Amino acid sequence: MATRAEQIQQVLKTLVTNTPDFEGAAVVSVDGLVLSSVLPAGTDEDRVSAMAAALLSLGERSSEELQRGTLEQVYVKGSTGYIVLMQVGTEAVLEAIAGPGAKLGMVLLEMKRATAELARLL
Amino acid sequence: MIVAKVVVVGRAEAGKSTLVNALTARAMNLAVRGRTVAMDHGLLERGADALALVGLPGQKRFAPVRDVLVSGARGALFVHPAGEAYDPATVALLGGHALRNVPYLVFVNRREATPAGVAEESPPGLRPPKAILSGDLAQPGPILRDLQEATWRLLDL
Repeated sequence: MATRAEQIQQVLKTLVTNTPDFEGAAVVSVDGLVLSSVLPAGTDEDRVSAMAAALLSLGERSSEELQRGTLEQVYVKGSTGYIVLMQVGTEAVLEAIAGPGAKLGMVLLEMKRATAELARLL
Repeated sequence: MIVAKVVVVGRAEAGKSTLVNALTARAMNLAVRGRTVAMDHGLLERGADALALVGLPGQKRFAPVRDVLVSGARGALFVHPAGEAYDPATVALLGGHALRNVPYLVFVNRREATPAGVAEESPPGLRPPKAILSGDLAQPGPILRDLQEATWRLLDL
């Protein structure tokens, strides 16, 4: 019987291997600590996690100030790919990185599925 | 009109968010369980002008967020808990690329009973502060007004 941590890790591994466009994923606490990750080698997990928490909080507040309702995603587009943040319950965030050719609709669908599974585990 | 940005720096739990909330109007804190994860923001108003006070997150892992927030700051308020050694990470930030030519003042945060009348020295290894103020943010009194005025003077405004 896998531990909870192993199960969380497995959700991320499945996400990254089963969906062609995903290059990495992490589950981060809302105060910026990494809970589990499958990220490219050489990534500074601690920095990435802290920044994910900051981005999420800025996204929430912006959404509130600009009356866009409850935050659903934070989306960052770079020249070589995307970063998408989606909340998992009230205490964690799923962060996924995808390549430049990613089909965003698929990315979001897979992330929604993963967040539902993660919410049960966390 | 916002005339300048002033950053509020110091170690985690020094009192930065408390200071931003006490000194400014319409203060906002992006925090989780009392710990700042992104920033604090408030406007220090004087007539039609305002200074944007931006409180930094203090915990070590938020260094990249601090690096973004200090850019363009014209002044800094260093919140320093009374009785401690100056926080090395904050001293390094004030001596670093973004802030080294920026004037700063030290606010010695005296919570509960710390010896009064003990003069605080300047942070070692750093250019001296323009001023050192001291007080308890929780106690009503002239300290808030003194700090507000000192912040405007910091920028020669």
